[in-house]
Amino acid sequence: MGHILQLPQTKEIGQPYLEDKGEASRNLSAKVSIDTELFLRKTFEQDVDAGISLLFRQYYTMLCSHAVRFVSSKAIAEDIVSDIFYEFQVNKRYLTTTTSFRAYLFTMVRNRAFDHVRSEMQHTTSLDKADLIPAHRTHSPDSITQYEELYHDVENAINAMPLKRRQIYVMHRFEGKKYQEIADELHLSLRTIEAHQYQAMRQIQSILKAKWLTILGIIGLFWN
Amino acid sequence: MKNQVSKETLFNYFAGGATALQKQLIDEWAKDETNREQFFECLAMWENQDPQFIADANMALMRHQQRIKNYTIDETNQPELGAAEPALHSLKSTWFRWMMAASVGIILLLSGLFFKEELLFKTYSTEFGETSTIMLNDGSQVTLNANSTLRVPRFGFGQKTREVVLVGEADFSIKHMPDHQHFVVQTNKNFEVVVLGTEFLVNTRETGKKVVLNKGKVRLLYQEGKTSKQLTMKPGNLVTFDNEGHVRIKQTPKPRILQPGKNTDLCLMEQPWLKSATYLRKIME
Repeated sequence: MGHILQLPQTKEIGQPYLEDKGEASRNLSAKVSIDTELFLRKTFEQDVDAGISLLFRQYYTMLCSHAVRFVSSKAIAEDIVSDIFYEFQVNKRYLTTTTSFRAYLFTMVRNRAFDHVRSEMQHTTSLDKADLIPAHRTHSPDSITQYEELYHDVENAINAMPLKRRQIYVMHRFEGKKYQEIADELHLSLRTIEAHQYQAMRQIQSILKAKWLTILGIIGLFWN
Repeated sequence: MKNQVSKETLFNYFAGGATALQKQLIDEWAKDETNREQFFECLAMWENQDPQFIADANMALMRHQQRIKNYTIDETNQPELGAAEPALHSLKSTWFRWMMAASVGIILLLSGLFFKEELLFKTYSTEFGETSTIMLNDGSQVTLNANSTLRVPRFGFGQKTREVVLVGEADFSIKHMPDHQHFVVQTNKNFEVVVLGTEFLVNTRETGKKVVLNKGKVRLLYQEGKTSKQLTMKPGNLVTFDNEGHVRIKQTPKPRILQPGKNTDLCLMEQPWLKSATYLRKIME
């Protein structure tokens, strides 16, 4: 029922705006993006190295920005994206990819990031062992919106933290600062920082687990 | 159909402002491949407009090029390295390593237990209608009757102890050692024979558990009920055990009962029926 109702609604509200400026900008952006993809393909045909460097300039930053929404760590996000570019070149994915490179790269990044969140939830203390988590994909969500759902939940979980804890969490996790650096910067003891960080991890995990455990893997139950 | 989901709806959705209904709508809409392309196009635009942080693409590209260079060097040197890496990866998990160590240990332990008998004992056995004479290291001679097994320790036999295990029937001719060392015949039938140096016969078969002494002296250790008892036999004594473990001593005029080779022929005609049945069971056993 809701589904049917929703359709006319979006049309009614969305259409007037789309008609004049939305439609025009869409066409324009579509043209630009098609050109970019076409240009990338052509470059790869001629010179793979040039194609890769173009690919980096085009997509690397936005992919990292996307991945960090899931994993909330700059370093892990960059690692995930770098690995995917690496595999893209080594496994010659530019020859076999049927979708746009953009769709391929985003899909890969989202899968890896999703997997990463899952493995972190399974191994409570695995933050420092993040590089040991196998890169293979075992289980990916069956609908595209589950990815957004997950990173929104991650974001909300971080936002729900007490302010000091959130500050410490972001400094450590997102920016990759050492506990000692944070302690110096905030004039707090090392123990306090560690306790806050531990509490932050527990909080995020308990929030995510309540909703995601069945999708992210039942095995988590046995691990903790 | 084309504009089912607008760019604004998607942007709103990426930012976390979509309702559950909108999410479901997007889900359905994105199942179509061209729509999905559009989805990622909008996602790319949104990430460009609203980045979480600006990663350094140039630095990343340099790292990537270095990595590719290393890969091509690796590939020319050792092509299998890439394939072996994931396996090593999983070995790194301490849990996995401990499990490996434990399972190897258990396998060794089990195989040790399993093959203990083979390692520690040398086994002589005879088939139906076959007898064999064995000369032991200490000079004693054992004649195994048909369908019997004798187990002799591989290590230390004749040095401190002389112990053998018999299943079936055998005739022993034991050499007396200078240090008066005992020779022990163990059986699985709750009795054992301890001797110094004599000739005697032991049978452990269910039908006729017995010991016959030819000459010298033997000590018989046996179990009656739950108590251990012992008995010293004189030459010509025949000791039989019934099924409850009770002992009966008889004097036999013809001490040597085992006649090797006799079992090879089946001549039941002259035997009384009960004896024949026992004889058949002996062969079957």
